Amino acid sequence: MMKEDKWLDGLRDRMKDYSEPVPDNLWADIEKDLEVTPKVIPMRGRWQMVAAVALLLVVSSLTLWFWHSPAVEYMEQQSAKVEEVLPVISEVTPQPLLAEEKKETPSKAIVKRKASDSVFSIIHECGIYEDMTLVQEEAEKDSVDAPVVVPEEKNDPKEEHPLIRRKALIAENVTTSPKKKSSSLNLGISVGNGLMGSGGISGVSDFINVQTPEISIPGDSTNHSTDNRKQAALHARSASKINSLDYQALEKKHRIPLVVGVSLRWALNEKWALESGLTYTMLSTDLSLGNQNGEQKLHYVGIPLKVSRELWSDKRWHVYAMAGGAVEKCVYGSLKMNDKWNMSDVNQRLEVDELQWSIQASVGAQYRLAERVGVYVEPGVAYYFEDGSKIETIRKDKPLNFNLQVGLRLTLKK
Amino acid sequence: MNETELVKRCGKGDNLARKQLYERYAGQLLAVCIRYTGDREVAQDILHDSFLNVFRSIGHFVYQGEGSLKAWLHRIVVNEALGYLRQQSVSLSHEVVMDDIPDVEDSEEDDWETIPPKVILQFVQELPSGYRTVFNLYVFEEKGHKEIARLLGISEHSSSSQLSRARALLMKKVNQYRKQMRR
Repeated sequence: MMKEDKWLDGLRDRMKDYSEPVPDNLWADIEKDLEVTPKVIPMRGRWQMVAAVALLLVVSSLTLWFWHSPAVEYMEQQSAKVEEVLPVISEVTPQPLLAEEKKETPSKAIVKRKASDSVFSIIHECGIYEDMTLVQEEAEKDSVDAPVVVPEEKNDPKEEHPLIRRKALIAENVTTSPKKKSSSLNLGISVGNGLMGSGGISGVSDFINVQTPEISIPGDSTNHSTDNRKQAALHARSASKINSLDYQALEKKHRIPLVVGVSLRWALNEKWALESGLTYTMLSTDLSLGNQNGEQKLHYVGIPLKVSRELWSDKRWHVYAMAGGAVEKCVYGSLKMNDKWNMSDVNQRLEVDELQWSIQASVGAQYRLAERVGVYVEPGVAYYFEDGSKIETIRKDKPLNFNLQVGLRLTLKK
Repeated sequence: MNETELVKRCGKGDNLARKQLYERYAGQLLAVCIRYTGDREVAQDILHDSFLNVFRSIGHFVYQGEGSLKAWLHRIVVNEALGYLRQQSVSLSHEVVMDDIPDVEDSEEDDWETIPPKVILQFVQELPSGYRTVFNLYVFEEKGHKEIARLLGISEHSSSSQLSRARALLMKKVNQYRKQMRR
């Protein structure tokens, strides 16, 4: 291109760094116009803070409510009942046995079986089926032992003890076995998205708020009945900005986010567990302005921290509620734009220094496929706090997000 | 303040940093605007809008070493200027009238040093709008005729002939100027 023309090269070198004196008032004018575009966000931010606090209250009260909910009370009653019933049974059974001591063995066996059957059925109700086999064994043992035991019982008031002891053992199992459902360590793999992810075209309202008085809204350049052609040209020019990123002016259509995660869950006790892990989120936005089209992609890595509480469970199902939060960081971002004239293809890396905080609450149902494998579905709601960055994402546009997560949970350690 | 720091602070809206950025580059960028538009007043308006644009999007600018900031600012300004010129696009696509272009001999190659840049800028300003745009894009943005043709919606042939004529006109002015200086 320029190889052959030294004359023009010379001209270029001469002019390259040339600087013209700038009129004094120019900076002041620029400064003034910069201030006219105040950050609209703080106003929204205030409202969002209120919404966030409200959500937190709702989540905590929901958790408390579940804590005292009928289902849980029922559960607790049942466990209590079992504990009550068992000693009663053990108290009761010896008597009939004693009374029926002279009767034939079969009837004693029957009585015994009945007792153990009722224990069996209560435990079944509570949904702890692993122990049923255990209980049955115990029951069978009892019925088998009955003939042997009876003579002892007749003589020794303490003979109740073996029975009680055995029943007590069963009771122990009943209360402690729930742990087996919410095992001490669980690994989860999940995929989720935002159900209320995409909206219409956002950023248009931003456009109206943020634009300086001088710059017209695209397509409206004809509105300006300006004094001279120069002014008209200037206004129309701004309407077709094709230079590097009049970011605020871009029309943005956010796509549904994609979230993939790995989680670890530690059971704290029978009902409560702590869950953390790693998530990867991709936020994608379609951009357009006038003739330009493009795409913004942001990749986030996040660490969630949640507390889960079991609401209900049986041999196959496990229903729980979760609440907590997460912090995410954008690890890579890109913005690509090109326009009709291909004059300024923009291919730019985006950097977001700010962290993205969020709070989340959800309810989940897990179905046990195998001894150590379960599949779960977890609808939930999340609120994403304003991160203070200039990059617009769906998190800013729709901070309250309903989502659905599905995944696999593996029990690593019982 | 070094440039990395400057960019970072401007991105955060630090007014002092913004003013510093402006003071460092406004002069050069104004010269570019004048070179493209040919009119000082229009150039100032374009500079104004360019800076608003700069400060709005500097948050997304990734500083990549010496010269990257200048190049980025330069690009914004050129795009603004071209946008303006496109509104005046009538003159860009006009075919060149042959008559008023003189035949000029090539002047000495390395003589730019004796001519003040201000004068050169004046010469460029005086070029007809169409020639000037092609000239600027070719010489300063170092674009080829194919690309210029695509950008301005003219033929490649039109682009190269407009460049030759711009070049010839400039040379004539330079020669005239030198003659005047020698007196």
